[in-house]
Amino acid sequence: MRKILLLKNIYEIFKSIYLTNIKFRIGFIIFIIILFFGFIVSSFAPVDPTRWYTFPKDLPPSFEHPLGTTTMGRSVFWMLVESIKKSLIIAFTTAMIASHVGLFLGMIAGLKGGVVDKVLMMITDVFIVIPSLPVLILLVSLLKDYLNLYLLGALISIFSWPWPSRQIRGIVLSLRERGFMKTASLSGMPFFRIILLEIMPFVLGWHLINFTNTILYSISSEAGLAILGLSLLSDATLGVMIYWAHMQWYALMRGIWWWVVSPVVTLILIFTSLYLISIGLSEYLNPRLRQRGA
Amino acid sequence: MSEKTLLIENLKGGYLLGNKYVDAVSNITMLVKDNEVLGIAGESGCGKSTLIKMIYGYIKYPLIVKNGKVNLKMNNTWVNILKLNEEDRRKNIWWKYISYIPQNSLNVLNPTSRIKDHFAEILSLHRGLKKEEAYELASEYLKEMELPIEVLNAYPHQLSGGMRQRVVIALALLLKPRLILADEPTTALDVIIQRGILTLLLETQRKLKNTLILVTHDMGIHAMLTDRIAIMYAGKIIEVGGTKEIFNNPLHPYTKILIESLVKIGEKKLRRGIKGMPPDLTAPPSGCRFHPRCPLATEICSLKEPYLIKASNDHFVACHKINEGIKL
Amino acid sequence: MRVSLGLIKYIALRTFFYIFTIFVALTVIFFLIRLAPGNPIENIIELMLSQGSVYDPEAINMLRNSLYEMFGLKGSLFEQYINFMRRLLVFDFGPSLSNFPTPAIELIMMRLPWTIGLLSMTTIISWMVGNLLGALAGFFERSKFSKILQGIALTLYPIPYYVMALVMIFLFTYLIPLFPLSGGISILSEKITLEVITNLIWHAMLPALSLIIIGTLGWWFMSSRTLTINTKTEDYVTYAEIRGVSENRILRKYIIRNILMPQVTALGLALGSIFSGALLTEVIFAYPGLGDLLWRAINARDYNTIMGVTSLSTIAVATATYILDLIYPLIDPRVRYK
Repeated sequence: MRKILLLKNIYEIFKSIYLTNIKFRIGFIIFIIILFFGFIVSSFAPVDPTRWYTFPKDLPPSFEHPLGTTTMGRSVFWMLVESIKKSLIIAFTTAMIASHVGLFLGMIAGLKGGVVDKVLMMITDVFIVIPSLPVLILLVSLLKDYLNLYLLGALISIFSWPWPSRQIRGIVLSLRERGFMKTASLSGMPFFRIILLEIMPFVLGWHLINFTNTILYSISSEAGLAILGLSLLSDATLGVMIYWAHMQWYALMRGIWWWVVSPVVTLILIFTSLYLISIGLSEYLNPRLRQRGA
Repeated sequence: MSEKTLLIENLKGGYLLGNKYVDAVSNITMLVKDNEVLGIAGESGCGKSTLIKMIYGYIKYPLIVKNGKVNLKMNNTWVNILKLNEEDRRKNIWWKYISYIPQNSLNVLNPTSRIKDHFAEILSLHRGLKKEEAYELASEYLKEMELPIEVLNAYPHQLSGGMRQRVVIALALLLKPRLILADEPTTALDVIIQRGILTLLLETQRKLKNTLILVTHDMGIHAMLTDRIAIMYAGKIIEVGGTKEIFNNPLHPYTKILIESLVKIGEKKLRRGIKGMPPDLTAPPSGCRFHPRCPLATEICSLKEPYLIKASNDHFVACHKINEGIKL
Repeated sequence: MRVSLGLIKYIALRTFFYIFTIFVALTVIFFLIRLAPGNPIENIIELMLSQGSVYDPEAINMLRNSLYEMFGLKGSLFEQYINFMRRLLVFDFGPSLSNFPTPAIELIMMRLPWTIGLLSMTTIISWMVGNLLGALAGFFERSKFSKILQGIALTLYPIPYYVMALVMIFLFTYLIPLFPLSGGISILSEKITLEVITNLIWHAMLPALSLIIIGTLGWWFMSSRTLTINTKTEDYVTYAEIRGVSENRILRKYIIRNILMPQVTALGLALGSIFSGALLTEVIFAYPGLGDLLWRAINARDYNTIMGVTSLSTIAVATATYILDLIYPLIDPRVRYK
């Protein structure tokens, strides 16, 4: 019964954001379309899209091959939708790990304060300052043989947890300043109930935003690693597509532009849509900006 | 025999919120004399701050002026501040003729500017002084105001709340304006500092012989400082008159309750509150805006709006009940 | 400048953080290397033999020794750690495995100026121009120019540098061939002539533009616009308006002056990502900096060089952040005093 109520609540909130915030609306629609292609359309692939030489090479886009074929004899379209799926799986893995670790640590830092806070923040800052790419490169090149979608997602999360952690800590601190937590505590509410009832509603919204941003960050990181040849090269992710197309086969120089343009445009669409969703949500959560967003 | 310095006629204005309009200042007509301290009293949300902003001429969206004039006597002519364009106001009126002490002074000073630069800014803007000259003048001025000179080199965050407020007041009085608008200058300060600030304001007024309009909900401050008081409720002035007179003989039911709220030493009577809440100014009550909460309300109070009627020399009140008594 | 206790505490804390960061990073690298599966050393030697990089038996032994040291199969863990740290802090990364016996540090040093040049130029320009544009857009929020730029920024902000690099390549080397696809310079010359400089700039144009466009109109524009909009409503800005301070002066002294502080802090936090992004952009353009070096090293399994670039990158970014931390009190009086 409570669960139904909760779901209904969430639906109401979603509807409210969707209808009032145009940025969220556009972003959401684009992302849903991408999800559709990535997870539903991809299951209709006639052959395994990663198999080489299933089709004639280097064909420009046509009715038969909507986005052309690659130099390795694969259909760009079917590779693309499969890549969307794989990239998103990696990204969701990262987001699940990193945003929750960040949530947990951020709340502890914000609630406990004092030495715990300072120590946690120093560790967080260390991970922010250290440039992620070189270390990830070292990591991935060493673990190359064990790599799979989920491991890659987990590795990327090593550098994705600091920002959510800082964010959530900030929210918790500003809630503390507002004093009603103290009131609840003084009125005798047990600690965890305080967390659940007073803090969670605010924090959850930002947690969702962090989750969205982490997906964005993760797709970006994976594609970056793939371009360097440090991803699942025999599989299909958006970055790997670009790797083969641009770094190995010089597709642009040879005029096979559709091979490069497709994953790049798809990446841009994913980034933009996720960003719009994120901005829409944060405008919704910030009452001052709510009116402007409409 | 005091000269008139400020004449407000039928001033009406408020805030646009979405498609609603908050009627914060509703048909106010008021006369302010030279060399006096006028207090404006009333609870939060009655429109005092809005009225002050409109007198100053600081009209910024979503604040709008619907009607009325704010006439200031300058060089023996009356000038309607609201009719001037903003450039004019900035250059000629603001800070020179009228100055404004804001409600919350904790954050009104530029955190990246030293206090002496705050002074220099005003002096260079309005008197064309160069930095060095301005610094010197500021030093002299602080001595006059009995503020420590070390303050000049400090940044705002290095000063206590009370000191910051005194700096703000010093800045406001720098160009010796004819009219000072002080909006709750002592809220959020502790009592001892409050007293110092109020003394400062009062002494300056006596020295310059100008006009001080003091807005505060604290009736105790009104009792101490003001020559005349205007009581505001829900955007209307409901009673105005000499301070002594009003405290000795409050006529409007609302005023009576306000004054009774003051604690007198030795008195053990239970304080009375007013039932209900201040009205929603997007849809104000008909007739007398106080009638939903008034213990003396009758039918006419909900139908017709009472206007300020002279009850005695320099004592005006807007209330049907009282007006009946006066007419009789 | 009077030095307050608060300032000393601040500097001490930032210094500790700087050293701590480098220490943590190098320790992480130390343990990472030990993650390599199997016996990496024999693998590497085999690889190098097959590639024909080494054949002198004495050199092979020397290499084997240094690799043993590096990958920690010599001495106790603690000893290895100390040796490792000692070597790393003098930038001794051992010989490059693909360019044996050239020390890895030499290869890195050849590439470093290119990367630093590209990075520092583009970061400074992006930060300054982006912040200024954003402040103007935030200040004149309702103007057309502000709304148009905001629209552009919304699309650019989430795009990583290297994606922009790919777009740039598509537009300006394929569609409209204006710029070279790769490299840093295409003229061989000893002297620095105008021709050389022009050629340098021509090659650096697209990589630099990729970084600048995203940086300026994306990151810094967005953040400074939002900051400005929030600062506009601060009490001290309202009070300045009330005092009659001119719009121009408010923009300069009250708004821009006050958004500088959080933006410098933000720059410090962003340096890591900016650096990573720049590396990838270099790879895409085969620009002769550290990025391109990494690309080659990865392909050739030159772990020494990879480790070298990783360590150096971390130290470089941490140092730049530290310098920014030290500059910060100069612009924020609240940290300088008390």
